[in-house]
Amino acid sequence: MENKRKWIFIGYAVLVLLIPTYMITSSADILGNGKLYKFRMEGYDPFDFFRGNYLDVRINTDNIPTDKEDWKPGERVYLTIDVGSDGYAFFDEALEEPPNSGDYMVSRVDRVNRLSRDISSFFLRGLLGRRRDGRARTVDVEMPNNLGKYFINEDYALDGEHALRQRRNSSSLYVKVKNGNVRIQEIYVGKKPIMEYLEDGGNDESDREDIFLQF
Amino acid sequence: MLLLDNVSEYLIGFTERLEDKEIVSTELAGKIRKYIRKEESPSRWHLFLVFSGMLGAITFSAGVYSISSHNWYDFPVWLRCTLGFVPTLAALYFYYRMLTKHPNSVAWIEATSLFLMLMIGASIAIISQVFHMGGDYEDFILTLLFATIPLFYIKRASGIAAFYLLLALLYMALDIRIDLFNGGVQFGGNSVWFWIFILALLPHYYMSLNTKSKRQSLRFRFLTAILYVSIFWALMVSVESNLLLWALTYNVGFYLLTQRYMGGHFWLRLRFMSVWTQIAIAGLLLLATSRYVIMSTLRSDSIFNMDDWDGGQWYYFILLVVIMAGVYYNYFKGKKHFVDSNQLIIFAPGLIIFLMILDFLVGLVFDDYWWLISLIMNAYVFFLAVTVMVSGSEQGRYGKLLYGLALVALLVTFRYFDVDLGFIWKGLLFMLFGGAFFLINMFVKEKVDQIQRNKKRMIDGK
Repeated sequence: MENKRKWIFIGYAVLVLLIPTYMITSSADILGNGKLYKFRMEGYDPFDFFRGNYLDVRINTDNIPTDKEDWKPGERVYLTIDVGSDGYAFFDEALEEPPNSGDYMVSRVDRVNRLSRDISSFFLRGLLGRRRDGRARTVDVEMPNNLGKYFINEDYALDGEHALRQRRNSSSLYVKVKNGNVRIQEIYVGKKPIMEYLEDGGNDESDREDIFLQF
Repeated sequence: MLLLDNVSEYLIGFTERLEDKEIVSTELAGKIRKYIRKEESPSRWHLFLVFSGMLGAITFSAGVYSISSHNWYDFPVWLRCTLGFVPTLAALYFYYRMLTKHPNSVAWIEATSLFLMLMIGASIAIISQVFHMGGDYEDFILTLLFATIPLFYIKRASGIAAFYLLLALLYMALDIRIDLFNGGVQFGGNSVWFWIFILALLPHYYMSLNTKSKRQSLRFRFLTAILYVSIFWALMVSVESNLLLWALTYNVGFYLLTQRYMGGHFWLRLRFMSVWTQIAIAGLLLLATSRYVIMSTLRSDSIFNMDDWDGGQWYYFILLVVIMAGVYYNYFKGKKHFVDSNQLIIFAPGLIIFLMILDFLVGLVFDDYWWLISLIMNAYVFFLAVTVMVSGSEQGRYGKLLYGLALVALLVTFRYFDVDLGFIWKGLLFMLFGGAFFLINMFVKEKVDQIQRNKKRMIDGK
């Protein structure tokens, strides 16, 4: 092999190997140093041709308040995060630019709502022309980057879906956020990580308590 | 010069017949056969090796993807991350082996390049699975496309271009937003990236071109075909104005390219791009003969409606003007290379511009005059079909003759159902057309009779 081509190959090989290296180091950094948030979630089990089964994670990304009026479908949007009194995180506001302070996630606009789904605000808007929280519009967004898929072993995929359906009210998504980058840390069913819960055959000490609380 | 595939087999058989009929001696026939075998091209077998190598790479890669899809969640993260490097490292090893041991084997180059491309994807898939980086397909495809570009230039692999363009098209399609309320199709930034990826491939395409010949390698023909399809598709979904002019100009560009550099091939299948672009242009013109297309596409697209255009339409119009200028500059610059080309095909976009101007000027005086545009368009297509038939007849090309006939047949069929004439006039018009066909039939019959007379004379030894 001629010398020039040899060096080109070495350079290319290094570049190619940098792709997984970057993916690993950035993920490790976010998971190690990012801030932890907990979201209420739902999930079901579809299939990815390249990466196998996963639980399609759904958190609430609808009706996020915004001041901007002329959002277009597909436009990039920055979502600020707040934590409610119940300890669960939610998206507080949809912005055009990243916020100066606080954590945020990046997504794309799915639909602009000119009519809020909130019935009370529907009537109030007739009187006031604005939503209860003082904003004229809300926006539905797509699932933020790297938040939609929890990859799961093929033997547990269907059980995982059933578990998330049965324990809808006690399933939580733990995510780490750093500088707008997101990684899923774990899905918890009750107080157990989902894989541990499934390996134990769906037994959780907190089951009875949760069911009791639901009633 | 190497002999074309199939031709050698035919010639071998022919020498045997000559030998049987004692036209040449056995010794001489043997010498001729030896010479034919010596000049025989092994390209078909090389092609088989390339295809089987690529199929092997795809199938093996599918196995790797499947195994990694199992999700080995019970392995520690560090081990899964390490395993994530294995596919790329293995593919790099085979690529390196190709560079050192088999640098001239096309089969090795194509198979290892494709394998490396797919294994880079496998590594990304494994790592993203470990960290639940669902992300989306767009990030995955974008990374893979960037990682593929150098493979076109390190050892000039071309088979991966098909996968590359397919992924680039998919990347563009993933960004299409259909607005159901307003009925529009919008693109995000992905369409820009698509054109960047096309630009990244073009130097490789140009390097494959033999500028001094009218016959091109399989590599160039293959790249021409897949580039033609990919760019055409992308143009048709992304262009916002002058769609008809774009489609015609694009096809004329490829028609000239194929006439200039691929017109020397003997077999029709090697000139198929030239044939296909002609059919595409004829089809587009045929489409433009309908009243609906004239009233909607042609008029709304007219350069005299510029006041209503938005920024996107202006952008695509200016781009079209630049591309048209490039196409026709090359045509006039190398005019001597296009003496056999059909002028009606080449100047089809000019007709559309002429009709737009005519439509505007006549519109200043009359109100309802769409029929004038339609008449000119129909006459143009009819004349095109007749010239194709005449040229086919003169050159003795049966396919060309049939193509011209099919064009007239389609034109007549469309007009029969949509022409806005009274039954008597319509009947007379179509009887006139029928008579013209009988005349054509008579001329061709005469030619067939002449061929048969010549053949008979040869057999009789006169």
